Amino acid sequence: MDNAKFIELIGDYCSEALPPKDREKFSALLRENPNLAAFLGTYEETTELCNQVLKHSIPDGAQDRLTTYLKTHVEKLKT
Amino acid sequence: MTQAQQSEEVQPASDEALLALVEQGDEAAFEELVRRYRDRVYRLSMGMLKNSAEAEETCQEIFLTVFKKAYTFKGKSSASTWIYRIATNTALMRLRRQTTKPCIAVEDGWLGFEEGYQAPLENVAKWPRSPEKEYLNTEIRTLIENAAAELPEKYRVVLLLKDVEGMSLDDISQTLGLTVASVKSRLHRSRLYIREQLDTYFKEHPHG
Repeated sequence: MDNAKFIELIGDYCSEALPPKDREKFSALLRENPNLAAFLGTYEETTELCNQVLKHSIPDGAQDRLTTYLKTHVEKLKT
Repeated sequence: MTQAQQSEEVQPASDEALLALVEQGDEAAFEELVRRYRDRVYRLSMGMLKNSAEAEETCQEIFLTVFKKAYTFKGKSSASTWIYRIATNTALMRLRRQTTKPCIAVEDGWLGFEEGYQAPLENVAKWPRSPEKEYLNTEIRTLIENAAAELPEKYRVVLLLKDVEGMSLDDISQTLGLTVASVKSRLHRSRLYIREQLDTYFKEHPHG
């Protein structure tokens, strides 16, 4: 498996979507090559960081404004 | 059986059941649906538009569309997928009306990801690792925000739906009308791009 193929398969490996035989090959490669294992670690860390950083919550004020907006407009739609 | 035990056994209405009530104009059902989805819809809007005022207006537009179009929900997908479809379409339409910000040219062979990305596997920076991510400072946050914002919208939306909202690849493919293979490819390339930015940062700011 060359580097390009390795990179291509990382996503499937992380989401456990690789067929068992390929997964085995991939795991063996990781055991043999610490550089690949390090790269995989950074790929997984990236997904966790994205989850943490990009997870915005609706601000309290916005929640209230949303409720008021929808009440007013739903009323209008119904009349 | 006490009343409390009885009420504990009452199952909350499913999203699909709520939508059916919304179709009949039930405001309480609509309020409940909004309560369940407002954070997710806001997050997606904010992630796409990068502007809290715009995200707020988009949320209003999305939920009003949910109310108006509830009658078109036929249960072919889950209510969640249906709502996310309205949310992504509305956010994308609004985004296209904005002045376009330059983003990376993935289609022009950006980093060659589509032809087999040759990552420098031998030269990975030493990244800090911790479940709590104590190292996550403002600088790194900004870097991630900016890298995500630089992704073309059709890549960014996939990243948000998968890595932030935790949707399945199948649900994302239904929401966006793409094949699962396209979803996987866009997700993977988005992650590689952000990973690359982080790796450069950690080379310049070694940890440990």
